[in-house]
Amino acid sequence: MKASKLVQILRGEVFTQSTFDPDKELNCAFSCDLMSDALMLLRNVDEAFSEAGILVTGLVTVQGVRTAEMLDLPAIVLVRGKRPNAVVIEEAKKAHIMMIGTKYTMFSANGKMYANGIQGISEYEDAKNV
Amino acid sequence: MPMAFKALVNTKMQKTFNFDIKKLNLEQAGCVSSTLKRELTMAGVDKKLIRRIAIATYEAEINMVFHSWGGTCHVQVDDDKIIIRFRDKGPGIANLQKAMMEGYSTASDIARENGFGAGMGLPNIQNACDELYIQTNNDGTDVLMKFVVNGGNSHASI
Repeated sequence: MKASKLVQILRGEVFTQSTFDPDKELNCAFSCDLMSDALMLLRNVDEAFSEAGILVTGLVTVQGVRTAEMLDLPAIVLVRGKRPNAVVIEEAKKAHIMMIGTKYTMFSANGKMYANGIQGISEYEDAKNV
Repeated sequence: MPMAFKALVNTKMQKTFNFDIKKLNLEQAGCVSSTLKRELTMAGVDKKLIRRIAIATYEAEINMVFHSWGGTCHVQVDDDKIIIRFRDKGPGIANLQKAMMEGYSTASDIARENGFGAGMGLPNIQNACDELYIQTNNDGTDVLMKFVVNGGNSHASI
């Protein structure tokens, strides 16, 4: 799914206009508020996952940006209407990460993304093993 | 110093990086890992290896920011391996055996508010690097990680 479509289905707000690429394909996602979970479970994913990957989180500190950066994820979706401060936005831009906010809760945001074809790590690994 | 430490730190070095890490400097937490990741990318290191290094250094850096009184990170890049050493000034890990278990945590509220403190830090480091050595006492903690360049796997030892 293109990033522009993601914003549309989430009724989202783009916080990082300078790093937002509306045509960027975003097809995979991992959702958590505990960053170590993402660091553990996405440690060995292949480039096809990470290059099209979204970190979905309610964590609005700079550590969400750092985690996405360490995992080579190009996008962060902030749920529950949380808004990053200027420092966090600047760090996201520096790391070339697009940051999108949505008023939907984690559950609803995940549901909308899943229903529109975005895969989680479980589906991605299952598809690879078929 | 155990033999494993000596053998690793006394090898001929090709390129080194040194960083200072401060206690509870939340906005800077992760900067060392970010800088190192960029340097290794520019040096042409394999992407999957860089991700493992990034994960291990980030967790170690977060540990140092939230649990220690500050310290240093020293990185040594050789043709066949990358050695990364985090040394802090205390207070040390009270129970290292428990700290290596997934889910065991002594994290503060401030660590949890920043997305950490699930008790996954040291297990994550262990899984990401090829060899791991930790020495700890009241004066501080010394974490030495080894990553094999070309063909390293994720079986760490302590």
